[in-house]
Amino acid sequence: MVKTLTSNYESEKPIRTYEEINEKIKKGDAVVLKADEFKRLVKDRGVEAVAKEVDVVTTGTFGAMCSSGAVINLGHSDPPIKIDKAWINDVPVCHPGAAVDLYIGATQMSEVKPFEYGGGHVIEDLISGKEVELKATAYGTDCYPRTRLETTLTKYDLNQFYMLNFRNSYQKYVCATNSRDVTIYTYMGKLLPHYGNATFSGSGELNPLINDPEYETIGIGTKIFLGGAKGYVIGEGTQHDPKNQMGTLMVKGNCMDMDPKFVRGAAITRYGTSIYVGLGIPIPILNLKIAKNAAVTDEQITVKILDYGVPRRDRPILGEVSYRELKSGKIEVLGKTVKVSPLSSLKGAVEVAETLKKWIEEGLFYLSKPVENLPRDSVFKPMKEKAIMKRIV
Amino acid sequence: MVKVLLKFHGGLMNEPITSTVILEKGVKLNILKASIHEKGGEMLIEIPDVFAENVIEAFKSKGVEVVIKRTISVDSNRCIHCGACLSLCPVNVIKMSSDYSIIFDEDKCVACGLCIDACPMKAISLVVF
Repeated sequence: MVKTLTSNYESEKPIRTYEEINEKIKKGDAVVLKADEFKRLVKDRGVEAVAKEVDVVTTGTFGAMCSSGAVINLGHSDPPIKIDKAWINDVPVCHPGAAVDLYIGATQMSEVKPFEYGGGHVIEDLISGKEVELKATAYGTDCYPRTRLETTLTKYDLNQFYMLNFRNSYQKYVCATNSRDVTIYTYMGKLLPHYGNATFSGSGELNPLINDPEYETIGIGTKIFLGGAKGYVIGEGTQHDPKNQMGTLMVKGNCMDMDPKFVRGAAITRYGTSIYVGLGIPIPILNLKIAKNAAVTDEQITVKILDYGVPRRDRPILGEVSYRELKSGKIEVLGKTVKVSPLSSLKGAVEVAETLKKWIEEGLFYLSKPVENLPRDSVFKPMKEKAIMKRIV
Repeated sequence: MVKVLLKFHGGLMNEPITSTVILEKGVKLNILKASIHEKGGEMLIEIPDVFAENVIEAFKSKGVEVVIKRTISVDSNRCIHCGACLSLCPVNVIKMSSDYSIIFDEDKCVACGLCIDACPMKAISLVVF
């Protein structure tokens, strides 16, 4: 017991501080490695030696993140309107607050081209500088008399254009396959009958949260790469499930500075529209423990293989597989070799980590210390339903 | 189904090649069109997706020229190299390179179309020659 305490103390002994790292970034001497480079170096030279030399490890992921969207403020029309319902490029946008604040939800679909064009595409188009069409209706009040509005806008006409995502960047995710006799189209992609293929999401050892599983450096206020611009973690995401290594993040960033290369509208056949978001987090190597955690490799990260042919909350578990196997392109499902597709862009994830590394090396990005840590013991509960509804199902 | 045009040149006219392939591979082919002329013959057939690669190879090994009428085209501006298409290709035309780029070997594509609706960026389309 005493020995364990000593060794924990030893591994948490500070090697460097945020301030020291930022000072090195300022001077242009910070040693920054992408997560994959860091792991390779640890394998060659051992974690103790590498932890002494490397200041920051950059991570990245670029995948479908449905619980994403953007807040926009339109400014006031004359006469003014307190919007009740609104559409951008025929996609219904939510009006959650005061007169001219709107939230563009990534999964909202066009009423004219459903399943093809949605909120994610609107956000991508706006970031690209394209002109979009806004239509709005209102019930009219003494102070906001206008009841109809039609105009065209680009991002330069907006007062604010923030990405505000309430669940992004899963620590890791499941692998999906399909036992049914027919092809199914799910949020985990197209799944062929009789376990004909499998899909997985996330970038494994490059994923941000998996490299800091105890959330020691990632918390409220952590500065991150979001969609090609600087963004911030503003809390744990919805459905944050730390005990099952399925932590999530709530994040915010300024869309005005984002790059459409890292923010892409998506149309997932027969599921709906979504958005692919590039997200990367720098992990400061403050002590040996953090270095050891960031040395985790694809072989050590395992996920469950679930049967998406069974459309229930608890899907049958068919096995467990590592990200190394998943990234090899083939896995075993019930004794059968099955081809497997990533759904997140691994190439995109590397580009995110690479870009973030470059920003830090060039002194364009400094690290911020979280003001509060993410919860490590919260629980992801199922929905409370009326007993009678369960019987109907 | 994969649509291909078979071209039987001169010397092949006296052999029952199509029947041989059907029996050898145990495959049901749809013959959509057939014509014979002095220099040989042509036949437009449809092959079930899962047999496509095998059947095409079988015809080629017997000296038949196989022209695939369609192929896929990938819009490189839309493709984000996610690889959602990878596990759907029955003939391994789609591969991931060591830098995680998704590569399409369009020459080998049998135009079955299975990958098209798997693409979240809708970057893949069929091209008809």
